Amino acid sequence: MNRRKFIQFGLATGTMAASGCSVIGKQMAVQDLPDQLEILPPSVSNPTNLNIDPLWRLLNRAGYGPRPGDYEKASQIGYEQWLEQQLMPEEINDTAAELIVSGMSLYNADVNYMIGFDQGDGLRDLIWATVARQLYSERQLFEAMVEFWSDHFTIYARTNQVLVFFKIVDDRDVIRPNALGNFRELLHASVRSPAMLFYLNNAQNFADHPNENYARELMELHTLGVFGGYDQADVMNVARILSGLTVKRRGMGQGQTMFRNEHHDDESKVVMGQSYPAGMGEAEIDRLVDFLIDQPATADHIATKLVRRFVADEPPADLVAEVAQLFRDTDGEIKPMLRAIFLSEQFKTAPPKLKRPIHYIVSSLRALNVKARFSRDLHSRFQAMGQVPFMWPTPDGYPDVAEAWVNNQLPRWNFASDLVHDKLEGGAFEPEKLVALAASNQPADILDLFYTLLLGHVPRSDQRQLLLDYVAKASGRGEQIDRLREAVGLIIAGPEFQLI
Amino acid sequence: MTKVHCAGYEKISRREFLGSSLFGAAGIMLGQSITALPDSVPKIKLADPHVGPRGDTLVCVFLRGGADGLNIVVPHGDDHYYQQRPTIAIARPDDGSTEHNQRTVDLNGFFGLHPALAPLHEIYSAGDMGFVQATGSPDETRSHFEAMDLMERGAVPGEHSGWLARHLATLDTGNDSALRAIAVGEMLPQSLSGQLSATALQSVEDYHLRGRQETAGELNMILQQIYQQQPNQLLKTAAAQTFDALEVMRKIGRNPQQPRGRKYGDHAFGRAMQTVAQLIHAEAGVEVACVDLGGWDTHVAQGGADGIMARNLTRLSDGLTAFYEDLADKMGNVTVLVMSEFGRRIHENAGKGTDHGHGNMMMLMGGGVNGNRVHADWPGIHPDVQEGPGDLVITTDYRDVLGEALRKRTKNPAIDQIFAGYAVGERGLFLG
Repeated sequence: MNRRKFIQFGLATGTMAASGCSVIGKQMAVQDLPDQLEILPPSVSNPTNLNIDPLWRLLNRAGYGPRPGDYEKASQIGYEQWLEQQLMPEEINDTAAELIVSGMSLYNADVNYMIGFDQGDGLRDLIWATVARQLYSERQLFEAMVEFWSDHFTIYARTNQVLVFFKIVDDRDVIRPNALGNFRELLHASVRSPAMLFYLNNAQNFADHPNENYARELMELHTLGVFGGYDQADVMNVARILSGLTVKRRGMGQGQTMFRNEHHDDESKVVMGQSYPAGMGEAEIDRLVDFLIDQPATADHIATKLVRRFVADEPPADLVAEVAQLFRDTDGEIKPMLRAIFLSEQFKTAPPKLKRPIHYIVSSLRALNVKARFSRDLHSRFQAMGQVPFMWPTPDGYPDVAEAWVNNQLPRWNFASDLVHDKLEGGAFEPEKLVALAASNQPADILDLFYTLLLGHVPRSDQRQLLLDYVAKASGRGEQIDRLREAVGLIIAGPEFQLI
Repeated sequence: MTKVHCAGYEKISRREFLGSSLFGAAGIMLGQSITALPDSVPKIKLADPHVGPRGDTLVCVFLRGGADGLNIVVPHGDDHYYQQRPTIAIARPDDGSTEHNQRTVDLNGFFGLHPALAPLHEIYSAGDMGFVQATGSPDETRSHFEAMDLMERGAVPGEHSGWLARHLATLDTGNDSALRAIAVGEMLPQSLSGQLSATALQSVEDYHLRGRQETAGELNMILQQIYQQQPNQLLKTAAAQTFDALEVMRKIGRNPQQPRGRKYGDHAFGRAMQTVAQLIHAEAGVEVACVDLGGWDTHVAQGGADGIMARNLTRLSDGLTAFYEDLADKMGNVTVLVMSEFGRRIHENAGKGTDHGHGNMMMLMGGGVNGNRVHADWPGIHPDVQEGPGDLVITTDYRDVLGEALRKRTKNPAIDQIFAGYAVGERGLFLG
């Protein structure tokens, strides 16, 4: 952290202010460029040991990467304090992101109203509400956890023509209120989510026509894990317990979860040794959910997934055990687990993780202070890289290991190229405003500025030299600017920006 | 199952269809009620992939919009065909009152080809092409959207990954090409949903590093150097494969091989088929290729031997014939399947078109096809044997066709996982 030079600059921020674009624009200006940026000196670190600065990693994993100045602000308040602030999202002013989302007519509507609309309109609102918050929300860890739980409780938004509207309700009422809360409350809410009941077919699970799809995934994916100690008979009996928990399909209260006793199998059952006497009715659903949460395997399963997401593809067993114990000790409180993960030595020393496509796109837009809006082009970039929010077809959620994503490189490289050439529709790259931060016209200083914005450091001198040589071939100022843009594109397309 | 209104569908391709539904063109799904939701069964769980050698390259041509199979593989031996299609039926092969080139091209004395498909007859006679009639998905839906999704998922409601994605996931051929699975078009079809490394490309030229022409080579080299120094093996390897694929594409683009047979035709489908052929010639590692041909939703004025549908069939015929002649002896290791989400109503409507139906035809082409025959357990089209509102009954589940192709031609034994819940039958459609 020493040996950093601080570069002061003038009032470049003024030019970034909203161009007469309503109250949202004014709020966005609040988030614009900071008044000072620090540039790290060229690093001589060993290429086999990336030495990622822990705070840089924290901003990139407990969120979607820093915008210009975020790192400096975080280092002023300190690693632990930044984490504590993020764990109290309700105390973070987030007007800019909330204003964007509040302007969406379908995302904020009553489900009865939504169902008359085209699913494409619903998808656009849902996806952009999600991406806009990742881009502009100050509650970065909260958004990261929304993505985590949206994967854990995956719902494919195109399951049928109306499911997207139920997923919007699920996002508003199940995932977001509980993302940093308590797993027990989160799971109880999910069990009564119309979107989940439709997606995993419990809406069609009746005593005389049992459907065990949700029963199985509730145990395998949402709680115990695949080796959680249950067998096929348990799956059948869980399906019987869940029978009759469905969604009202017409009339008043359409789209609301309801329990239909006449379709509930009210005979006695046994699940993993726990008996459910006949005649319990709906009460046995809550009893089952609490029982599943109390199983040690559930704590292990949730802890493993959290550590895999935030620490390493191969989760360190000791940290998983520690986090699982916290789950058990606190009755599923989410914040203590996250605190333990981000303060752990394993987090700081873990090998780099490959950014998933959403993270890759959002972190690049944030790092370069790109003002993004939802566009067909931006949507197609997520699609080409393989990850559009809520579009994973199967209930296991988007994969969280590098092997799943790493082969699809070209869309990433071309995204980088189009971004720096300002050819991304819906993402205006304005390098001149960033370049003002470098307070220098020297290509080397400008390049180091972008290295710092994108990687948090300036990499090995031979790699930097490659880009400098490339820029130096320019014959005139215009060509030099083009080559500088391309050099920035190479940083984004390169391996170090893809890994964090 | 509710029917979904589809006015204007025929004017737009599937890509535009999906795109517009994402970006607000209202109307297509308006008024959808939640009472119409399909019932479903559990998702498919995949075991570890089978390790084995590569079989055929599989080329899947999807006719989007519901192609009228009865005017493609024409049952000219069935009088009811002519009775129910007074203006749009294709004349019998021996109909002296009609010009030669307006008549059905006989295949086996009962079925024949639409005259626009006459060039395919040569491939058929050579034994490299066969047809399946009265096939399709047993699902009752007559909604394009739903039927395409179901067919591409493998007709397993509630399962949202595609059948080709499951095929690739269950077969490890040791082929790590970045082009193992491709779709020619702007986006991946549902059949590849869940296959993260599948590549959508519009053409050979489309698969390149974007940027300024004058610096493209330099940038490519620097990026390669940066990745060569990368300690992360996974990323380094993936990048190397991508550069290999880029190089293959660059070579094809710089030195485009002229098709060895007739011309592909100056239309998107012809170009797409040529792209696939180029990649096969270049041995780029393609195992699955998906190509779309839209414009089959012929509710109004579909025409007979001439007209809207005939023109579309000409494109199909151009593309398939040129592909076959271009690949020549390589067709021994290529299997082409042509399918559509459903067939159309048996009787023509007042607008001289046909409405959404049920059973349909499929085309099979390649050296491994049991060709020179029409595979049909013909149910007849007499009004007494029609399905639903007057549609062709399905006697061959389309999964029998896909499943047999995967088992025999791509050497994937895991058919029970790809089409879980359905026992794929043996229909003798393919050799091997």
